[in-house]
Amino acid sequence: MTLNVKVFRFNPETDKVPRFDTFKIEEFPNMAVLDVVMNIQNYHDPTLAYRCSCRIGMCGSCAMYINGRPRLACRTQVSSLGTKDITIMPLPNLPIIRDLAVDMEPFFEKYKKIKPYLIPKQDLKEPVICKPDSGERELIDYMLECITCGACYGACTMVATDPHYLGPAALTRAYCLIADKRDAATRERLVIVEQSEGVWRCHTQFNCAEVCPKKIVPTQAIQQLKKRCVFKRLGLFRG
Amino acid sequence: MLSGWTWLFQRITAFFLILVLGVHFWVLHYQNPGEILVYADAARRLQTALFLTVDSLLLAFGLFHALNGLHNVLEDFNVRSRSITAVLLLVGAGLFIMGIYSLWQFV
Amino acid sequence: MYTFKNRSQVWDTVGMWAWLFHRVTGLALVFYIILHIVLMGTSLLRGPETFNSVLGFLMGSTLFLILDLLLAAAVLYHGLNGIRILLFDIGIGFNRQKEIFWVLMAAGLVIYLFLLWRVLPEIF
Ligand code: HEM
Ligand code: HEM
Ligand code: SF4
Ligand code: FES
Repeated sequence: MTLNVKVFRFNPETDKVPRFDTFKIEEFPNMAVLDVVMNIQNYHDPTLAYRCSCRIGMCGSCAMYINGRPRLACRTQVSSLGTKDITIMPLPNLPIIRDLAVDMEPFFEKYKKIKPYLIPKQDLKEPVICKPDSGERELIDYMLECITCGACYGACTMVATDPHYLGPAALTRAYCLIADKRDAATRERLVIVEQSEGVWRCHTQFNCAEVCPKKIVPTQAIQQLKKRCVFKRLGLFRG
Repeated sequence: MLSGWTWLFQRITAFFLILVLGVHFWVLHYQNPGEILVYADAARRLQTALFLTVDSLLLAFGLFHALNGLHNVLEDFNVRSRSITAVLLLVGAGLFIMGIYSLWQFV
Repeated sequence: MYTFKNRSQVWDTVGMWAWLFHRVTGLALVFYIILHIVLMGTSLLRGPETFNSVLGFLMGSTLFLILDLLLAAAVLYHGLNGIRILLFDIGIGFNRQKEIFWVLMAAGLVIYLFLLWRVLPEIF
């Protein structure tokens, strides 16, 4: 079977406007979209720029806009697209370095804003016991699977319209730490996420959840954060 | 800086609007869709505590919900300015005063 | 250097359209409520003659009855999807958001058909 592949091309140093190149690629069994991209670069056009590393959905570097949605190129089987016409574009909402490679800097700048690392409580004598089956723990556990691929960031309309909005991934990370009993910087992080550019920009659109390759529902994390922000306003927030 | 509060009030007003707007819609139009409303009926309704309450709540909650909703949309487009907030507040206050004055003249 | 972003959005999800329609109907209602308050407020204040002629003109016209059905559709959609949003706000339904949407829309359709059944005889 032959695939008709349309690939977005843009070089900021020479091109004023982007263009699409088309390629005819032979499909092989279990072919992933990343295989298609590599095939183009190996046999058709060595100047095609894109990013990948692990090829098994772990590193989070191959997110692209494939047939209308951000997806991990390495984890998207060509057969799952249900068509032989494939359109590949760079991840939306991020500046393009070249072709399919985007600059993740704005994404990680926002990630850093919420202090994405554990700041342990100093005065604890006993180790904190977090039961793995406690409700809160179950929520956090699967959210920790995030590989910072930026698919959610590229799928969110609020990120598209407000360049300052922190976005689903950073807020999900913030929630994981705020809900963690061992963490000492809970309030500090809440003050950051309760800004106008924080949780309030989320309108429960669920596009982030639809595209997340790890099946995370950032919407739920953000709603949990809104709840805590309101409790904090009402003077009911502890922890 | 009021973000959390306005979010909460947007939800509270939404909840009451379902009920109050439902009553308003039904009583004024769909209960009797052929009828043309006349002043005497409106005046009689507004002399009852129930309808005065329903209409006043509809006015207050509807206005807050509508203008705060508009403010939200503007913030989503990264339009954040004190003068826009002030204009929305003034428009809301003006409409509220006029509306409440018109409803309460029958008391 | 020319900078460029892919501005494409995701259009094949229920949530995208639910959100977009909620926003569009919400903004339409803002327009309506302002007009409505000005009109009703001034008519009530001007007394019986004005009020009766304004409402007679509006409610007597077929166009008004048709626009009214559009208004009802907007309120119904916005209100029902509003219930869906309020559920998320109290922490319910994240893994069922599409099903909740379709259930509410089915309820909306039933209510709307009922309203049509009441109003259409007045138009024709
Ligand atoms: C019938 C009852 C209603 C319910 C249950 C309801 C519910 C809601 C909810 C929950 C939101 C928040 C959406 C979000 O933050 O993502 C919202 C937004 C909004 N509502 Fe309503 N609403 C109702 C009636 C109205 C009315 C009567 C108006 C106008 C007069 C209105 C105008 C708006 C606007 C402009 C927004 C902002 C839109 C946006 O953020 O996308 N709503 N509504
Ligand atoms: C076809 C539908 C509607 C009809 C026939 C209608 C009719 C009226 C009438 C006759 C009044 C005057 C007070 C009274 O008689 O009780 C009134 C007041 C009011 N209505 Fe409606 N209405 C409709 C829909 C709406 C909607 C959708 C909203 C909200 C978005 C709304 C909001 C209000 C408010 C806030 C007032 C108070 C105005 C004031 O303070 O003077 N109405 N309406
Ligand atoms: S939440 Fe999901 S989509 Fe978003 S960055 Fe993490 S893994 Fe990617
Ligand atoms: S190459 Fe690592 S996630 Fe796709």
